[in-house]
Amino acid sequence: MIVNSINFLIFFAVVFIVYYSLFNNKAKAQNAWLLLASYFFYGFAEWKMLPLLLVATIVFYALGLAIGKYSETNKKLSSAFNAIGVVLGIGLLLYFKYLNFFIKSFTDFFNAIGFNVHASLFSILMPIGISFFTFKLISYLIEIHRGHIEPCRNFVDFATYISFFPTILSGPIDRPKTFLAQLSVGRTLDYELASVGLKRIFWGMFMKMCVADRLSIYGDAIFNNAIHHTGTSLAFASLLYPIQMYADFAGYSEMAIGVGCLLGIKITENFKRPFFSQNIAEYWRKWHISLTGWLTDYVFMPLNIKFRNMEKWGSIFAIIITFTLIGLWHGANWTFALFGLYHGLLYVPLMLSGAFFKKSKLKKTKSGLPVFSSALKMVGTFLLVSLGLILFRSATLGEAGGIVYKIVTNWGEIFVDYTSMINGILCMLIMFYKDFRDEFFPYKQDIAPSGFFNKYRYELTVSVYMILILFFGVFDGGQFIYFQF
Amino acid sequence: MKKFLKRLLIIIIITLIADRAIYYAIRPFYKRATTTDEFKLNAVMYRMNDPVIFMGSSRCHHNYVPSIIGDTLQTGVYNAGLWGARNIYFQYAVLCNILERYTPQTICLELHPVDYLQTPFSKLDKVGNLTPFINYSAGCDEVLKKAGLYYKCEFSCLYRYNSDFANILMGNLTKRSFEADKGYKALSGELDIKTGKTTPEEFPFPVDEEKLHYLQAFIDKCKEKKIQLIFLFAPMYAVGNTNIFNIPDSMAKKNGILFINHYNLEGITGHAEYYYDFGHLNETGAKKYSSFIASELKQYITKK
Repeated sequence: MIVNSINFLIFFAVVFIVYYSLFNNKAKAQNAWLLLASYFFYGFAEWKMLPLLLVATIVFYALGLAIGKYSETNKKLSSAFNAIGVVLGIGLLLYFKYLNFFIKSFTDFFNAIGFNVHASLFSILMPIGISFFTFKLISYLIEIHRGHIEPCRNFVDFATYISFFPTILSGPIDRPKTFLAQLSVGRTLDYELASVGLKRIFWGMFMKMCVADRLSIYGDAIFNNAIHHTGTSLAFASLLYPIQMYADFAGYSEMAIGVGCLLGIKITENFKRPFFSQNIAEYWRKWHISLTGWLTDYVFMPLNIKFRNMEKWGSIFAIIITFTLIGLWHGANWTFALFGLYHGLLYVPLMLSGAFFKKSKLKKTKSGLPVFSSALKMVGTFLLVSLGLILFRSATLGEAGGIVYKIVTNWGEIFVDYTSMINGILCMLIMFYKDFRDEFFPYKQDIAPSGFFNKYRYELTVSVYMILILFFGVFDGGQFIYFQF
Repeated sequence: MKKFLKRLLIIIIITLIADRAIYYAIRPFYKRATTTDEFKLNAVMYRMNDPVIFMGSSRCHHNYVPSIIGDTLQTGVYNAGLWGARNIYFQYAVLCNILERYTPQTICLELHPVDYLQTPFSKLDKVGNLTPFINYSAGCDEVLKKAGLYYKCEFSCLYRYNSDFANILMGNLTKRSFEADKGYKALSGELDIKTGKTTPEEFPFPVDEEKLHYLQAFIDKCKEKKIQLIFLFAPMYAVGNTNIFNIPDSMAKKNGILFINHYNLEGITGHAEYYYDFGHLNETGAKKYSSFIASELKQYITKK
């Protein structure tokens, strides 16, 4: 059930109506209803994996209680339960997502150095959303162990947090502290919050259906037949791909956050206009924020402390490991590992120069626009990101190498597909305009026109989004890119 | 809740009004567009009135030159083919729309495996271009319903022009005329046998019963309106032993329809200079083949 489908609309309408009409302001009943809806939603996508989700939830719930119970009286036992939980969580990921990748990589390696090794791969069905819900499970235990939260005593609340339907398939990865606190109180329809949610849902749909899916028509035509296209076409498609990725994933996040708002639950923000970043560190502070934050807290910080004797080089080492993990989190493929490593290496000059440790302030002109040097840095960061995403888009390292080689050596006629290009680029410009305004002139949104347009400004804005979707949207564009992770 | 629902209602009302208003504003521009797909569909639905028409997908669009065929047959000929793997669903819907306005004397249908096999690249989505012609004929509406487009178009008028913005814009900014070609679109360039596909095209797909149903419906419609129907298959560059003609052969036999199969035509097949790619003739090839097919058709098409 894709979030921008009619099926989801009907499903959500039922959830919404029952949530507020039958269970209004009744926390327990609302949470139980959300849990039921979330399991239905997950089961609709992959019913065979429902028992796994349920068992994992029960085990981690019990571990959470155990950690909490012994946190004061027996710290060793508490730590042991925490370690078991973390190993279990990582084990789930390793088994379902990476086992075949490791087997294949080892056999390939030994065959390459002269041994004749054969190993058959396992037939494993990867549970959808596993990268997202296991990270929630792990962070829950660590947060209890660190004493940041109390263990959740209500199983329904905990299970709702893990399986919450807007976020289970593609994030954002909510932290337990903020999320569980919201489940502890009953919710009534908050007019302002619900209005914001509705607007964000339609903006997310615009991003996904009008920008991402439009640009993907051109991008797929080029990347799926890379050997037949010139370096110029590949370069152009490589520049569009980050925008497609952003519109796709940030679009999903907008919709998830919007659905959360309609249910009275604030979901963590996942994007903050990443293409207006002056360096790669700033970019990652604005791109997939919930994942970067998760890995910063649970991987980078502990590693950084562990390697503190090595000073700057310790931090560099920690960041390279963290980013390689970010890369591998996306999928079991060396292209993803290299994608992460590439981003980790981009941090090295920032760390050596000390720029990483300083908070860079954007220099602006009197009119509020970034100065030329800052704009240039933004363009440079975007180009570096685009280059890295060639690895992300390619199925193999060879394919990625071939694309880069062609971009460098084979300039020629550019492939033109007017329909998808004009429609896609126009929608991209609309998205850019909104992001640009939000980034550099957020106060301007408070200045409203007068009369009818002032009175119905909100309604008109949402209607414009709907009209744009009806006119430009791709209605059979398929699943979100991050659904596969 | 009430306040929020009221807001939702206002949004829906504004959207529906804007949807209809923009639709009526765009419609004349759509009808005036000179971009291939839009121009061709408008011409076929609103202007074409020739007694002999050629229908089919890209191999019809680029292979049959109406002026040459018309000169030989001494009658008006129009090429109603449209590129883009347009299968029998599309052809049936277009036929139903044409019959709402006039009844041609002869229809030459260029068949392709996309019309009767479960080919992955040509399914019901191929009728998407026909959404501006919703409520034009019952047959077209039936196909649009099958494709899941009809009710979307009923809800939103603007959705009928979904994805058409670029074409409408280009088609109103550029001046092109296809009327003189009577629907035919020439392809320039020659098949490069070093880089182009030169092996026979294969279709290892099972028969599509749903498509067969619409092929039969197409035949029945022609019978009902007393239209002479002829199946055609234009020459391919590379040929081999194939069973792709079993279905059209049996359909033709069953319904008493003439099937002119030039899959392997001496003098054209294997001659790269007549081809744009492995399945489409270039302008030179199309003219040569049109002269040939016109002479053959003359035996069967009698001017009324």
